[in-house]
Amino acid sequence: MKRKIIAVFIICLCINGLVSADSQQALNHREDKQATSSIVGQVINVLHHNELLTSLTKIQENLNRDLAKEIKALKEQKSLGVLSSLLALTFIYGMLHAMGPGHGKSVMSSWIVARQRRLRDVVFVGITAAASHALSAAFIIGAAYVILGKFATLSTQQLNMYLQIGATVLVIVIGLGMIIRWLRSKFAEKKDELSSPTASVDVLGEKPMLIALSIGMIPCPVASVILIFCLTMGLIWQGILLVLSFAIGMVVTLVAVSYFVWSVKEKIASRKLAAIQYVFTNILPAVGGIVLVVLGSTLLYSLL
Amino acid sequence: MKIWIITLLCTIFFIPMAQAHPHVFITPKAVVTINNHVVSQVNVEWDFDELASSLFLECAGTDNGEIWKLVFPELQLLADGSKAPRSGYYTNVEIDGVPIPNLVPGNFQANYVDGSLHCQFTLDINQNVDHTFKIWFNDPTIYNDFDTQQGNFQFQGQNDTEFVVQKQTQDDIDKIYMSF
Repeated sequence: MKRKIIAVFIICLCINGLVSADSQQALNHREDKQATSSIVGQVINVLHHNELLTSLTKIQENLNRDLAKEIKALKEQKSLGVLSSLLALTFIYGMLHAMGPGHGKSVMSSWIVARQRRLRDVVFVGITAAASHALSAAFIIGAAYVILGKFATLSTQQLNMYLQIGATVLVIVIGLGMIIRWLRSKFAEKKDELSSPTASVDVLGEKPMLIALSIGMIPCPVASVILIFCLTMGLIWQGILLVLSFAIGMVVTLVAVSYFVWSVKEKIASRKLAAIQYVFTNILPAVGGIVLVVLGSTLLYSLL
Repeated sequence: MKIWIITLLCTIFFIPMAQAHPHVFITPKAVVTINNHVVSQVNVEWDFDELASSLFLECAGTDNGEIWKLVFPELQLLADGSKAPRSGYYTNVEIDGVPIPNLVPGNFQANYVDGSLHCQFTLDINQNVDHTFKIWFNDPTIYNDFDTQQGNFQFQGQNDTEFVVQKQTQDDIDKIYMSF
């Protein structure tokens, strides 16, 4: 029992701590005010404001300023050199931005460790999630311009919130799907209807596209402001190129993280130790689902 | 069953780690009026980064009321939880170790300078300071990042006692600290 408890604790730590991250919503002011006076509040404060995150934020702040300066320079000069340096800047910005919490790394990691996944599915989720996160922003801005004649309005900001709610509901559905699958396999195992608990049962929550969608359907605010800044300066195709470059940077980070989680899991899974096999077949599938349901519920609660 | 309860508790405990990243960068400035150990008011200015400013301009134009809604979020632009009650509007003041509750910005004004949004507001304090006065800006969702520099904070007024101003970092939040 002790070993199982330690295993569960380590898994949770890995999922939520080391490869941290999902949407940025859960803490709001009300919680902050009440929490800071408590021990939990102090813990949250320290976790949210740590040295690594502070450094990452500082770099992003500098990149943000440089980007604004360079875009203005591009407007003046329209040179290929400035555009190239902007593309490099947005690529790095995208990479670093996705490293921070709030880009679906927890969701992806939970999904990867819950069951045996094919590498191509893992890479697909990484690419689709990051690309759609950045490009959905461009799509909304384009649609807003066509329909409302403005690149952004208060109602498009409201739309972002509805998309966040939709994404968190999707995360809960995926988590429930994983738990249902696990329960079904357990039930079948007991009834001797299936020979193995990992036998394939097609469940909604297991689809790679849904995982990618739950992460990517929320438009990235940074991609939005880069594009709007360019568009208001009359730099249309340059703005689109910069958002693409930003998206590619995010793709690189998310694919690297998901590949890392997948390869670590595969290495551990390849060991034929009974305890490891027990964890992989009996614990991880349900833990992944529970993590997603709790994560999604917490985020949803903070949004409603 | 115990294992699943522990999993649940672990998840809840670690979820706060997995939130939030900055999208809007704000440089806060403030002038604190303090006369003979009494802080009357704090005039605050926030300078927004140019990229975010373009979104403000597009969304709200130059309408102070609309910008207020976006700066102190009712529409999810700057922080999360559309119905989340405010608590201090990211603004925190502590006198002699006691936080000042219900700080509400007054005289809110917004304008654009070279494409960058500048918001100004006043905090009415009117409280006696025996030893220390602390001010800091912090968005707990980290959607907004405040780049606090000591040089951007001024203390003015007539005081018979010398005081020291310095920047302190607590839990990686920069705070401006004044002590007699």
